[in-house]
Amino acid sequence: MTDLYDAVVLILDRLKTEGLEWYRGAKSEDVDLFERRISGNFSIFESGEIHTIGRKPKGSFPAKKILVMVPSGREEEAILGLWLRWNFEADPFEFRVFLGQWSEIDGRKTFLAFRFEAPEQGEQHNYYHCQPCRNFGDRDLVPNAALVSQRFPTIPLNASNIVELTVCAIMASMGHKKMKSFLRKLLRDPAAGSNASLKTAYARCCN
Amino acid sequence: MMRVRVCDDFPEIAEEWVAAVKAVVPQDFDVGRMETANDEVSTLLLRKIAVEKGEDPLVHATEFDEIDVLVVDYDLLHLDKTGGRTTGEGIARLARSLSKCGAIVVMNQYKGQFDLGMRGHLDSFADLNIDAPLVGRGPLWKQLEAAEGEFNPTTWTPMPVLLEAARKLAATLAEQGVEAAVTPLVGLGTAAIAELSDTAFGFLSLKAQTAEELAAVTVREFLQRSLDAPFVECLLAKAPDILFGFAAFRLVKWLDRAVFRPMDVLIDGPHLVDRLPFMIDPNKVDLNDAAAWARAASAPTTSLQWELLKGYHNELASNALGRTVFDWFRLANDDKVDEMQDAYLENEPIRYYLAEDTSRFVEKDVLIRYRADFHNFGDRRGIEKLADVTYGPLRRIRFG
Repeated sequence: MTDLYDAVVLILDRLKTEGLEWYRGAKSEDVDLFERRISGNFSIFESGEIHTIGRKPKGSFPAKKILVMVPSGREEEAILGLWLRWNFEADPFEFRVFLGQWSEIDGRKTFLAFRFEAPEQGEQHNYYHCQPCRNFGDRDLVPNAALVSQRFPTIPLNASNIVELTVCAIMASMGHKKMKSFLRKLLRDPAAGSNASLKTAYARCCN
Repeated sequence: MMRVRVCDDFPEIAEEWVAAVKAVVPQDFDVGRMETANDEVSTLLLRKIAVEKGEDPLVHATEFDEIDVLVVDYDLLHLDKTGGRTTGEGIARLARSLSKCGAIVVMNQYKGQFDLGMRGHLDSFADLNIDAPLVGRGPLWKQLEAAEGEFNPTTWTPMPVLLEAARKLAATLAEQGVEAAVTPLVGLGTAAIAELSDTAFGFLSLKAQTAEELAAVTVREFLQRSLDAPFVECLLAKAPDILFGFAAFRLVKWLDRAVFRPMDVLIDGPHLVDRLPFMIDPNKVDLNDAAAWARAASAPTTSLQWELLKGYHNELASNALGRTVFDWFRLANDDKVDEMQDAYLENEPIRYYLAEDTSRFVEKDVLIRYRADFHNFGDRRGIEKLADVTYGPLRRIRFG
C-alpha cells in the first residue's frame, strides 16, 4: 500500500501547490469571491498534513479547510475545492474524496459536490463509485448546497485503487487533456517517476 | 596561479585549514595564512571611510585586492587591542564591497554540513558558507567525478570555476556600464523572470512589480538596492573594478541560489536527467551503468539528446554559473518532450535517481527523499545520507 499512499500524496501535493499558486496570483475579484462565498464556512488548506495519508491509518484534511484547485474556467464565479477523509483500519477500508464547486448559476448562489469513494461493505455499493452530497466531509450541510439525493446516483468509476479513484475525481473537474498533462508533469518529479502505482494510473486513466 | 588566503587571528587554527586546502589543490596553488589579517581588515575600514567621504579608497593598499579565494572563519576577529572586532560575515562584506577580492568562503556561520533546505544563504556576502571541516574536501576546489561515499554536493561549484565565472561577468558589466539592464546579461528574458520567486525579485529590486519592470532594472539600480547610492557613485568614479566585481559576485550568487536551485527556470544536466531520464542518448550511454548516468549528465553536448537540448541551452546563464544550464520553463512545454516521455513510460527502462549530496545516480532504494525549502513543484529531492556528514533540518525528510 505504501506506493499507493505515496502516489495519492504526490498527486494531492501538486494539486495543492497549483491551487495555491493560482489563488496567490488570482485577480482580486476571484479572491473577493472566495472571501464572500467560502470564508464564512471554510478556509484554505495551506500547510501541513497531506503527507500523513497512510502514515496515519485514520485521518482527514483539517476540518473546514479545503484544498483549493485551479478553476476549470467553464463556470462564472466558480471555486473548486477538495477534501479528503480516510480510514485504513476499517474493513473494507474507507477512502473518500470530496469535490465541491461553489458557483453562481442563473444568478443564484449554489454549491454542488460529489464524494468519490472506495467500495463499501455489502453488495449495494461494493465498487469504486461517486455520489452527490450536500456536505463537505462532515455532518454540516454547506449553505446553498444543491438539493440533491446523497445516495442517487451511485456512479461506478474506472478505478481499481485509491490512486485511480483520486485521478477520477480530479479528472471530473479537469477533463482528460488537462489531467494527462497534470500527471505527465507530476511524473517528471523524480520522486513520482519511481512510483509504480502512479505510472499505472497514468497508463490506465489517461491513455 | 591561484592565490588562496585563510583569514583567522589564531595562527594555529588558520594553519590547519591551510594544510587541509593544500592537501587537495594543485601544487601551483599559492595557499597561505593572511599574516596580517588585522591590519588588512583595518585597511578595508579606512577604504570605507574614504568612500563615505567621497575620496579615493585605493590610496589604501591592501592584500585583499590580490586574493583569488578568501577563506574566513565566522568567529569574532579581534581587530585591535582597543576592542574593535568583526565577524567573518563582516569581513566578507567589507572585502566584497571595498576590494577586488575573488571568491569568499565563510566558515561556521550556519550549523550543519548539508542544508536540506538548499536555499544557500543568499543574504550572506560570502559566495559560499560551509562548515569548517569541509574546507579540505576535493570537490570544493576542483571538478571531481561523483564517487561512492564521497561528499560532492550538486550545490557546490568548485572555487576556481566560480571565480572565473564571476570575473568574466564583472568584465561584461564593466564593458556594458551601469545603465545596462541586469537580467539580460545573465540570460534571463521576461518570460524567465515571470517564473521567479518573490525572493528572487526582491533581491534585484524593491520597486519592480512585474516581470517587465524587473527586466528593465539597471546595474546601477541593482547596486543602489545593495549599497547606498553615494557609496555606489563614489566607487563608480574612483574604483569601478571593485564596484563591478561586487555586482558580479552578488549576481552570480543570486542566479545560483534564487534562480537556478529552485529549478523552475533553469536546470543543469544532472537534474535534467533526473527529471527526464530519456534525455540520455541511449546510443552513446550504457543505461545499465549508474556511473555512466552521472558522466552523461555532466557532458550534455556529447551524451544527452543535444539536437533537442541545444535549442534550450542558456549560454549566458551557463557562463555566469560555471555549469551548463537549460531553460527548463521552455523545455518543459515542448510537445516533443511530451511524446518522448510517453514513449519512455511505455517501455519502463532501468532508471537511476540523483543524490544531491554525492552527485551520484543511484537506485531508488538507496535514496532518502526530502523536501527542500523552495515550496515549488521541484522541491522533492534525494540524498544518500553519508555517515561522515551532518544533515539538517531532518524534519524535511518527514515531508519527502
